Amino acid sequence: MKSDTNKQTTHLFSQRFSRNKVMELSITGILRFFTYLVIVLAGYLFLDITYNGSKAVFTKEAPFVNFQFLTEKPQTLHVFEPADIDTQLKSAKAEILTKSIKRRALSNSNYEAAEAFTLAIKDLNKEVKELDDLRKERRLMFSDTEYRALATTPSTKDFVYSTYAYSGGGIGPAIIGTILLVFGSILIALTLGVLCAVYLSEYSKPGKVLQSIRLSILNLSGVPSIVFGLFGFGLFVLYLDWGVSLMAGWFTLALMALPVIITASEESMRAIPKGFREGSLALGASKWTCIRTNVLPYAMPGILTSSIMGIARVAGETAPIMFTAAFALRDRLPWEGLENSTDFFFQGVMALPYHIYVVSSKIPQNEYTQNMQYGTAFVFLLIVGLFALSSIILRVKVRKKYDW
Amino acid sequence: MNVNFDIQGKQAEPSKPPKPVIKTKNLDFAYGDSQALFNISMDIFKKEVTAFIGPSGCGKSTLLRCFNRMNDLIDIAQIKSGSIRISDIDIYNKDVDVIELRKHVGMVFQKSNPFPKSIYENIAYGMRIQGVKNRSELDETVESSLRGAALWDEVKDRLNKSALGLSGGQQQRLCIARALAVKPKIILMDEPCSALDPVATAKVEELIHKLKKHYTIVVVTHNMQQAARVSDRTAFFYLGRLVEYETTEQIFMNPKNSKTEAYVSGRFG
Amino acid sequence: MSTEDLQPKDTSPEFSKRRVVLFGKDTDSIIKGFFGCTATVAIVVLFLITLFLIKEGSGFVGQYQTSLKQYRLSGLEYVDILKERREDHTALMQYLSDIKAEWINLLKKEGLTQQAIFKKVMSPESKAVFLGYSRTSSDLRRFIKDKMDAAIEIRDQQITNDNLQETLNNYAKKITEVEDYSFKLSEEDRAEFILKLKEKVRAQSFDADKLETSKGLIEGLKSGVALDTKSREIYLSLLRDEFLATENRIQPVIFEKSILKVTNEQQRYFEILNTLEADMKAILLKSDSIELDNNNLESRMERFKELNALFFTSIPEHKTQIKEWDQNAAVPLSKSLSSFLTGKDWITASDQQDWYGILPLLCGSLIISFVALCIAVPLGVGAAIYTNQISSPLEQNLIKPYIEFISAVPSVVIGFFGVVVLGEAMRGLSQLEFLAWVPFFPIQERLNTLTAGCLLALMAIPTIYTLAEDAINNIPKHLKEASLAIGATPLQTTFRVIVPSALSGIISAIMLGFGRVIGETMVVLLCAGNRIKIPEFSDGLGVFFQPVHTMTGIIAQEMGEVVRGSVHYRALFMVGIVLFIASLIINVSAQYVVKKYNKMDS
Repeated sequence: MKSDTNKQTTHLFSQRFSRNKVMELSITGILRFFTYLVIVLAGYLFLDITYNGSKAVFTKEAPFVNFQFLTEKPQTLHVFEPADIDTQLKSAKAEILTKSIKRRALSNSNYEAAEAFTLAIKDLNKEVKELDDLRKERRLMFSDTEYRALATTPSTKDFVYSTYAYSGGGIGPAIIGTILLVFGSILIALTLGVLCAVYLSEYSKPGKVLQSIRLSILNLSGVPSIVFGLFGFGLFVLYLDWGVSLMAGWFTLALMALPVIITASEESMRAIPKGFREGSLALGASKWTCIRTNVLPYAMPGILTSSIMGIARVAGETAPIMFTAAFALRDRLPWEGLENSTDFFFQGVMALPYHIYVVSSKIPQNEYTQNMQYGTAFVFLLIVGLFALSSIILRVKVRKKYDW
Repeated sequence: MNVNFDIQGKQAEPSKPPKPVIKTKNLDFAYGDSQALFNISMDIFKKEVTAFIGPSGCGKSTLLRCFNRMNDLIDIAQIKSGSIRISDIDIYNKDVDVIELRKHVGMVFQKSNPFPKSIYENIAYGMRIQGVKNRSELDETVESSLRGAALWDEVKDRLNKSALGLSGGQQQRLCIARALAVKPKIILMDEPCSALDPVATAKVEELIHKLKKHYTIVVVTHNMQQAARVSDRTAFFYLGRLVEYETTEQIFMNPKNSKTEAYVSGRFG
Repeated sequence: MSTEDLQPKDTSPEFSKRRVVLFGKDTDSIIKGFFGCTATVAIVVLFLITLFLIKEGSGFVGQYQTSLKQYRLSGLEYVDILKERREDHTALMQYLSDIKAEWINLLKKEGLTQQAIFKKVMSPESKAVFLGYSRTSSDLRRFIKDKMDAAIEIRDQQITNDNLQETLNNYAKKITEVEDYSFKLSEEDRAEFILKLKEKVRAQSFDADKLETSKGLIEGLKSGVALDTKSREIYLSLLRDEFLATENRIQPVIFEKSILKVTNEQQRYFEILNTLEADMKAILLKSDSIELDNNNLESRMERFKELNALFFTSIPEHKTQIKEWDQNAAVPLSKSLSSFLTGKDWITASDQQDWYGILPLLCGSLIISFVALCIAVPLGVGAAIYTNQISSPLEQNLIKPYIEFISAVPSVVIGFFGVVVLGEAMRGLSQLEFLAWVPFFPIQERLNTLTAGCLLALMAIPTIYTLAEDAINNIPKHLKEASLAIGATPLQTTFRVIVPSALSGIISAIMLGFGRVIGETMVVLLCAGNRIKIPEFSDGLGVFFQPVHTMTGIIAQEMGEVVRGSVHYRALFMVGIVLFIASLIINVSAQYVVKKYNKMDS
């Protein structure tokens, strides 16, 4: 206790500088940096896709939404570029390349000559930009239907002709297919999942059976999606002979979502206070009546909100539907040209995730295809994101409302 | 229970005037909007055992946790006015390093809370966080702390076993030993015996009595007999106010306030 | 309702009666049974997955064994042994031409003109070495090419035979069917029948009587009706003709005989090898006369000679291997399984032998997971510690849902982002001049292990984060208080008490993150580069810039294109089984970690 007499400013409990403190500050800094790094990286992904994707989905004039893109079927894009500008562009670009190589060779020995090259390249770049603008102005683009309707195709003398698969038209069938797949699988997964959860939370007694059920649920949640795809292909497509169809996709996705939904449902049922059940049972209600009237209604909001997250994740999966439900391209919408009503269930559909896979792996990235690629990814992210967001927000609300 | 309920014995040592270590002045304390402590002023004296008694929710634990600023952990907790000075330093001053303060003012909790580590590591923890690496120094401190907490003979053969394997009373004494290891001057005990059986309680009380020689001890308790047994002074709290603060003898034998009388005689609480 | 109605009536209680509805059970136990049945759905699904993977995959072992048997019987294996020396020689040639290229580079740096360099490199001495060396193996190459063609021919004949045999069996089945009097023509049969009849009529190959009948038949034939005797006879005779024709087309392969086309001329082969050895030695002697004038190059030349010496010493062994090769050595069933599990090649649709070895895919999966975890573990666990222990409540309320939201981002979108943004960005970065000092820059492929690993890390972070945060959150508050009360700083408390206590939870979070990463399909399919080759670990860190293929990726990529029931198809299911087992092991061990710790705690 001598220290506090030495100086007025330092006393027994005064702040002292130590290496430990510097280290602590830096560790805190590192951890904070890690956290914000994750946020920034993911944020960049969202922004990039939103920014580039909104170019395809939104328009500058009213009604501001590109309904054509959202509703039409995918088509091949036919592009005619003005030939004269194309050749000029190519030669200019080639010149830039040769000049920059020469500049690099000179950059060490002859500084002035290198500088001259730099200037020349700058000029050329400007020229290229002007030419490019001109090209964009004069080029012609047609979708499949428009192209076929043309009375005379532009002559190949004046134009360089190229086609890009999937890049014209829109993604209507894929959106519809995804929505069909998601809602069908929700229905199946919720039914099965809630029934299973009722048993687990209300009827089960600890023992071997319960243990093995829990173990299976845990293990099921870790099975890779592609294995589900193989399984769905083996069971539904081949063995039950449903073919590549909505039904096969529904069941495959539903079984995949099952573990999440069972866990979520059981949790929200267990959160119902015991008093609710006892009160009902003490009045002479049977167990089932008690569950029906005093457990399920109160657990339902919780079940639904937590399940949405599972469904959002399942809706985003591509691997399970690759061999069970998805077609790369299908001209008909699901309700067109059905001979009888059951055919509806046994037809393959287009789906957004598979479409994204196809367009990002099977066709090249360039200015003509990118718009549609980003647009598809954006629409898909939007759909899945809305599901997830609503689940996160609703969950907070439900917790507040039903806080027993 | 041979712990002395011997108030005469305490009277026998009035020779040196008691020196206040913790000085609380006009302390108002609140959790958000609800005020928990009203205008508390009291001095706690060096190398004495001070007991805080009172019914649940009277603010005795809150005050105790003010002394080593454990209330900082609660975001909405704040001192509205008044001051607490330990060794003549305002501990809520800005330039106070709360870490240094807590090294000076140790604490033992209601529920024994050993870390899920070995007994040895539990005691050595306080040294290690101060950067002591020397094995012999650690060994020495561990032994002396365990001896200080009257636990050494019981655990010396299993220092490397998990502390979670000890009995409840042993765990609590381990926590006291852990607090001793950082060499505090003041030890705060928040109902240290409330979760223990009578035999373990007796041991802890014996320990408190022994520790008094070297440490200033503040103990919060529900149990009036315990307060009477172990403390030199007793403070009675009621609804966030300090009702009476006197020597233990005074409080139990001759309370001035009617509420105190009612409480110590067991008519409410 | 009057108050009297509420008074208990004085009747005898009825709770001894159970209302029996069905099979001696009352409603409640039936309902319970119903829920009990639905609860087993997880077990059933798990069982079905196992069942169907095995059902489709198990045929692989047998089929692959057959394929390996044919590989041996047709002598392709023999040719592959021959090829080993050729490959070695090619590698040596590559080494030599590398030396030459380096030499030219060196000369260029010294500032020699094009002509001077040409003069030096193309001097008679060096020409004799560099060109002469590559010429030494021309005989060997020609020889092996011949033998390979012969072996492939045998194998193809065998495959044709198998196919014909199958057709033959189909005909035989049909004939027995038609011989049964209750046989009815199906629509398909009718079409085929009429087609054949027309052919016969056009060719007039029947006798006049039959010709007349068949002309009538073409008009009046109906499906789903039993045939009359005459038309049955005609149909049968047609089928029998076909049967015979097919049977004649089968030219059974007698492997013992045909193999001779491959294995004859062993003596000549040895002679070729001997001349090769002599030629090479002669050239090596000449190589001393080249003036390389550089220590580095000379030491490489020395190394080249050592390698050559190794080549020569391996020849006798090679010869015995050839002599001892036995066409009839058995191919056990276990061989097919072991060559799947330890095979280093995954080669499909080749004109020689298809190989299904899982190692390159497994290595690819593991190396990508490794990269992903290296990034995701510090970030995920770090962020979990930060939000739970350090950050302000406001930060906590924003960061937690945000990271949870990331987990909902579809993998295919992340993969797409990798293709269009990250891959390009990485290549751009590696081509920057001021980063040229980094080894392996500029990178060859924009889609490689690192690209896929980074993106997978983004997918694994939410999983690891959420579970690790949970684990940390579950540590009782009183431990934190105890540590703080001793005078530990918050950070000391976090790292010395809280994190060690939550360690089992964090480890299991990491393991589950690993499970997620190794089972992820779309990102690796789009961004890993898809080159089926075991990464070259000898490249050091460069291994992370190589494109790889993964187990999940190969299934997704090839499943759509394979013939159902082929070896290839079954091999993909086998890969699926491996994945399935791996995921089970990861899951079970993650649970084990948690359980073991929990036991210790209580």
